[in-house]
Amino acid sequence: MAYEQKKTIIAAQSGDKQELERLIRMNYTKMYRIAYQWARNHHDAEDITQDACIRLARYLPGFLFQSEFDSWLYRMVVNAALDWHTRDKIAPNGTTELNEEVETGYMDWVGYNAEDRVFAHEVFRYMDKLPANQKSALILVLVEGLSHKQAAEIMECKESTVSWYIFEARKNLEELLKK
Amino acid sequence: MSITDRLIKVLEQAGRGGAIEPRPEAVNRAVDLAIAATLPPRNSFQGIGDNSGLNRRDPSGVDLKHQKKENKMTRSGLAEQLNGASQELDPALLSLAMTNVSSKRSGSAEVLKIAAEMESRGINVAGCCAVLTVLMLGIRALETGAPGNLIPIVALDRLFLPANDSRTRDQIVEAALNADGRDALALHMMLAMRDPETGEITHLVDFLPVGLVQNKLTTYDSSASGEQMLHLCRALTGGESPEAKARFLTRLAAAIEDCGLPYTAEEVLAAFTKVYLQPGLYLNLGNQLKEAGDLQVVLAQNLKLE
Repeated sequence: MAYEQKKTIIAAQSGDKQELERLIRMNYTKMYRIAYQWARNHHDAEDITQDACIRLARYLPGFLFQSEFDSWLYRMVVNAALDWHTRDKIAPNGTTELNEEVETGYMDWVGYNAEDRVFAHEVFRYMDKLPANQKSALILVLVEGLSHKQAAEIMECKESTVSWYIFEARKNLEELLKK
Repeated sequence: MSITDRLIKVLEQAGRGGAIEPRPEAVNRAVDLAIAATLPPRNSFQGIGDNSGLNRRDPSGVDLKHQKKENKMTRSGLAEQLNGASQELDPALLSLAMTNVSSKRSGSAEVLKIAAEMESRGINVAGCCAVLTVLMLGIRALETGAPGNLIPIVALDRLFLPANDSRTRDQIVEAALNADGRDALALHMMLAMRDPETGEITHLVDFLPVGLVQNKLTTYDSSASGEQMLHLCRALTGGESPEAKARFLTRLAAAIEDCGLPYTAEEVLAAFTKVYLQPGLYLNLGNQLKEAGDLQVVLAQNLKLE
């Protein structure tokens, strides 16, 4: 961890609000990025990130530097996203709503033809249908490029479980896309 | 290229898609809320002794002290749950409280303890229940697709203010804006006080001291955008310009038409205003909803203009 960030964390832990603000500003984009991968729209991504920032402020005093701060931070966002998923994605009848308004987002579409874009749109739509843990694993490993070990630390599960989630997620997505 | 390869390519591309630039106002808002979240809630239960209200005899004749011994939930546990600035109340308990707090007829010790704790904080239990009832109206409205999801926002007005809190709303706003505003009311108020577009501070959700409804509010009211709530609140409180009010009415009319409700926007707005101005009406509406079981019937009975 960079010395500068560690200094900021320690100051924020001791109640320095300016340093807390600094810490959040330093990490907001990173948090927002994960949130966006989850929600695929800016409005919900902002809500998730906001929730994660509140959690960060509340739980920061309990961060003991026993893990990477980034992993801890990711966990805040993933948990906020999971809560968002539970809270907002469940229709009154108890079924999960499929997000039809998914944005294909800020991807660099250079080199993508129209068919590829439609395919990508379908992928993001169907990701909403995956169980939350599978979606988390997919985002952390395939989208964000983290190792299975890092994802396991964030998701608080075994590395082999992450591998299983990804395997299942890919299988499920492929089946959905073949239909 | 196989589906697998295409899938992986799309996902990896999403990760390499370049930096996203969050909106500066979203970052500022998150910072404000995070800092507010570090402030301890007002009226924290920590350190409160036997005068907290739990040990006294409830006006209804129930010996709460005796009940406390019988209950598995400790006072500190309950306090922690009620300490809404940092905790979310168990939804099942909230549901129980919604239906039973006002009448106290169930005899549920948990509910009575909640009521006792609320009263010990100077919170009007009947008022709380009334708010929760209206919240249920809002929930029902959401489920039926009516625009009634806006009701809870309106109904939250002042019922949650502790009876011994004589501050005006402006004073509470001031407290929220003070750096040392260590105030649960203020804390919750800030959750919805800042206009994301202009940064202007407005009176909105400023009455959530125990956070009892916060969870439900965010859970069920998510379909009402901040803009909708803001406009409704301004319109109701007379703080909106005629032009803005007209724009709001236009949008409200469209929403009502979408829902197929047989009311004009002016009628609905006036009805909300009526509810807003007459706290006693809340509970009455809740009871009628229980009997009628249909929000639209209740609306038809109560929310028409004279």
